[in-house]
Amino acid sequence: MPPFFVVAPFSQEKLFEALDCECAVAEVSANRRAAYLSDYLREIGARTIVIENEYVDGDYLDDYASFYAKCFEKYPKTCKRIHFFATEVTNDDFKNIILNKADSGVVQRFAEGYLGFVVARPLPRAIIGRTVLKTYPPASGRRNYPCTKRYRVSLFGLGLEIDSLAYQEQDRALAACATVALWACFQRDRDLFQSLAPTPATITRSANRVLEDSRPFPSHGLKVEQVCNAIAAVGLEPEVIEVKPGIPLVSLLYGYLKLGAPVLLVVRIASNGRHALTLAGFSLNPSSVLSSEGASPSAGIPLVGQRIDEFYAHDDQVGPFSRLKVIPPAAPDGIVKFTGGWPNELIPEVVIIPLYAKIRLAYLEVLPWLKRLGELITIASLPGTFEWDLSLMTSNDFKEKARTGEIGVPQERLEKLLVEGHPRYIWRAILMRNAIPLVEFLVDTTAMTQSFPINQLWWHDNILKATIGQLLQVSLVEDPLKQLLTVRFFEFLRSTV
Amino acid sequence: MTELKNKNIPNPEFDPEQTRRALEQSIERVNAVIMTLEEAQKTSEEVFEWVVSV
Repeated sequence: MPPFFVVAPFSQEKLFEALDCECAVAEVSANRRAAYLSDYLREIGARTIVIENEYVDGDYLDDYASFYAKCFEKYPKTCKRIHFFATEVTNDDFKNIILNKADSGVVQRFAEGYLGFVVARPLPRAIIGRTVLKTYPPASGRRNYPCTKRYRVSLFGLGLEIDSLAYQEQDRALAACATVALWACFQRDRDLFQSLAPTPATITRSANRVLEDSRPFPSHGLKVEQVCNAIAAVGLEPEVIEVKPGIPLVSLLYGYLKLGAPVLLVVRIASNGRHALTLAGFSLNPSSVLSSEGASPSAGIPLVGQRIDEFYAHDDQVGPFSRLKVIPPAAPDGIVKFTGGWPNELIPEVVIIPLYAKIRLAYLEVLPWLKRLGELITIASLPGTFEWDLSLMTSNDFKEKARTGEIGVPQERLEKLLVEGHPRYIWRAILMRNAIPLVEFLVDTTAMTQSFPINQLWWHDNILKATIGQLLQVSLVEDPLKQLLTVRFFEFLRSTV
Repeated sequence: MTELKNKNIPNPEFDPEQTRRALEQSIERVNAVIMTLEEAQKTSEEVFEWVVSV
């Protein structure tokens, strides 16, 4: 019988040996995800590996009960769980830590150096089970991982914590790429929207309530319709956007990710077909890095997406938080593409976002309001580099940040904004000039497309406020102003200046 | 419009005719953007038939 645990210095050889449950080490080293994990763990500073030799994993157990238990071949029902630490620890040190015999400072340093775990499944090829690993460092705020959540881990009674988003590779029996991409989304959505977070087997089963011309198990993939069905089954609504020229794709993805809502991106890869991955973060630079993001040339003021050069994706064929570099469109009427982990480019085709039902107003429906106000400000304002930042957030988060000053709200408006009721989720739009906010407004996400959804607006720049005030008073241009803004927005704007 | 932008003064006196012309161009641009976005939001039926399988 193997020991309950093994402690060893981290190395690629030790990792591959630990991942070997059912297949030979040589097979592990041929697994692209295992090689990725080895590099990833080295980059985030893994120094020690602790292997729990017998671990009951809830997700695998459900897969086991649904499929593997009924195979003629005998598959074990337990896994190994491999933990990683940034501190160097011997077997004796570790025993002292778990038996509470170590100095509290040593325990604290050990716990603080926790980098997460990988569940090694006892399956041929589909080795990488539920994986929860620390993200790359923030790089002075450039790297953002809003779709992570706090995982609490008990290692033989020692409480450990890590902020991450769970990942696993597809087994092609109960889950193909779309199922595991949904599974990753639902992990975070449970915290964000209080929805369900089912196992891969349950996701594939609920997706297949829409009967198609192929059997659900073994799973060879899902139709987009089935993906939507699986989202509805956890109590959320699927926001489906077909990627076309004219859509500012990078900014749109940012708009949803900023809330912490993972995005399922369906891409086409030449010679491979359609693939699904889960976007969990983005790299936001201080200045523009993209010449364009596929929006129409008449779009005017650029959006924040032009400062994003890469996304962080859970690609079940590559690994967790894999880099997805943005390639700007080759032509003004083209679309952005991506590179990352595949020999060929990833061409985005569909964006699917599981959302809380009352987030009704979509990103693309809010954009025209930015365009209207942007045009007005372009006529009236001073020269400079402008940028719109539009993203979803919760009104509670907004209030907390406004209260502590993290979000700047003029003092005379603060009390009203804090004590008034707001929709649970809001779109927040900020217009910046040379990285300084000029004006911002909040949009009611529960509104209808045909309604006037802006319910709060305030000016950060008093000169601009006065200038716009003057412009709105020029009676000879009132009609074109109303045509540009709509009557409701014209009247609303006049009440703010 | 360029002239207005280049005035670079906090309290510009808006020339109604010049402002009207600038606004007309803005209305055209906003309408074009709205049309593009409305078109972009129409999801083709075939999308739901696509199989995601790699």
